[in-house]
Amino acid sequence: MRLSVDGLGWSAGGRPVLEDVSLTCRSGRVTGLLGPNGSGKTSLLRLVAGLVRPESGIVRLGDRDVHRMRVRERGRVLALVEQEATTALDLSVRQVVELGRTPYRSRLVVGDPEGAEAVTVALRTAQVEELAGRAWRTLSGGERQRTHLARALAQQPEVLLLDEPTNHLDLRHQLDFLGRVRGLGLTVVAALHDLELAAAYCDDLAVLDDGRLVAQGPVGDVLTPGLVERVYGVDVAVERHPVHDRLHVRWNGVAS
Amino acid sequence: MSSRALVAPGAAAVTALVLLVSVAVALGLGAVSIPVSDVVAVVARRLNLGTYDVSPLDDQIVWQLRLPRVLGAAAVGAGLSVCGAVLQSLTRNDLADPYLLGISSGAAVGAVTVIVLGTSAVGVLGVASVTGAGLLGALGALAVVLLLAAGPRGELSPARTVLAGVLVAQACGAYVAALILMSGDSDAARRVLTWTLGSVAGLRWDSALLLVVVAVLGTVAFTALAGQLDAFAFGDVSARSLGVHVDRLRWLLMVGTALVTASLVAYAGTIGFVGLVVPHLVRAVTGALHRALLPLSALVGAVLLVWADTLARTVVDGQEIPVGVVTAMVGTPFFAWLLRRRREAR
Repeated sequence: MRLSVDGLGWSAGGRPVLEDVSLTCRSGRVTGLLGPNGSGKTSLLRLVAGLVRPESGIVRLGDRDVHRMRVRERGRVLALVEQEATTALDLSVRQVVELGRTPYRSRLVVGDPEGAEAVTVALRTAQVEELAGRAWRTLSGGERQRTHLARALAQQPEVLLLDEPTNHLDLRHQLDFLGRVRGLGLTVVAALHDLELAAAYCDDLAVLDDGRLVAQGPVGDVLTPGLVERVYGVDVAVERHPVHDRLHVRWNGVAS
Repeated sequence: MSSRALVAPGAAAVTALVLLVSVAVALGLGAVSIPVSDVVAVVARRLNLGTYDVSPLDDQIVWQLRLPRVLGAAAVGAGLSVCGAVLQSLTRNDLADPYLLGISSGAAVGAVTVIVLGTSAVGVLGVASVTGAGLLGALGALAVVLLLAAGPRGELSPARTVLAGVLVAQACGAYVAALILMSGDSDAARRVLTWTLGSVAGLRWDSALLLVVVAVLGTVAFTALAGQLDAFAFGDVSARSLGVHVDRLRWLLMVGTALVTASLVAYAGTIGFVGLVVPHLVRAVTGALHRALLPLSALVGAVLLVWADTLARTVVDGQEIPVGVVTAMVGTPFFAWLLRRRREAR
């Protein structure tokens, strides 16, 4: 389902965090959200997820206003994987994934007939089936991220929002995680730090700089040395690999 | 199905049975000890479950004197434990207890005012007893805490709420201390101390039934919201993204637990440790999911307080120990053990 953001503005403590952000995320495609630390990526994701109310502008999912949807209904169409969310509670992987069924459960205790099936599918899709009985606190970083993904999938969302999902994962787990997400066929918006990964796994890119959207479009159009220098202040070369046709970003140093 | 999913119903059934047996045994214990078979006969006759040969004295002791007290103890234990469990989850704070929102200190202000100055001091408020004044004080303190804790959009942040509770408790404590010292009445001071440590000694049928209704309603209502409480496991943002009205639920549960606690405190004083320790104990068995944690906390809390109160009234001949002293004596070493165990687990 198509996700569009129109004229979004939001400030925190009197300081503008996002200003007039307009963005379209194509249905069934992966949109990478780039930008330096503090550029507003996490804030934008929370606004898009409907968790924070914008001061101006609108977020639409299809033709529905995300901020006018009922909270439970929103939990069934939009799923968010936060940056390293953790818990001190003694929960098993299956129990964490079952939390994803919260928006489908009647508010009073029981009644979610498709729940068990959705949880099984989510565990399988995120490849945490064999971890189902393990305690959350014993999981490695990669296993936790996959469990979060499974929890989000148990929500059976139309849009998946990921906030720097590959932070602190080793290279293999980064590739594995993003490959898995890409294979889902969902509309995905992922805030990413790594330009190489963004180039390899996203269809489109949107670039934030100091709360403003400075570029958006297909990866090949957006990821240029000029843009990277302007936004990140880094001198890079962007090359297309002769064999697998992917873009590679090679940095030369901090731009002078 | 994990094996743990089956632990909870089994544990609940066993604990309910233990509670029933505990009540029956506790009814027989005291200055006059009565065999369990006679206790059962008294209760069965009163409930019209058949004809039994019962002595009037046994009937008087079991039905009129001990049963209200034992039921009251069970209700207070259940209510405090379930409220403690809810508040620990809601604030993500292991040290949260039912008195978090200034309930105990507010109740103390009301109760002590009546104890020291007499009922005339609060008569203008239409309150004529320690219980009424305690309830009024608890609700007053709750209102102040909520007023201080609510943020600009009406949200209750756990950190602010805890701080507001501490602030109000300090102010109330100063008032209570000043009132006792200035009165110069050592008997009043002793009564205040007894009240503060908690007791279910004075309970009669009407108040005991009220406490039972409050505890049962509270446990059922909070358990009905178990799934919503589970969604707080990974924090507020995560709960909200799972379709939980975070601010609304937090208000509902903060005020709900406070009202339950205020009613219990008004009748039984501030019995410590039960609401803090029982949820931790139960969590170690059932895991963190609330549909098991909450009802089991209520049951375990009930059993614990029935026994604590039985000890309180039987351990020293002819003298009552405040039940709060017993729970603290049992609770402190247990909590110390829990802390050590957690340190080793990390």
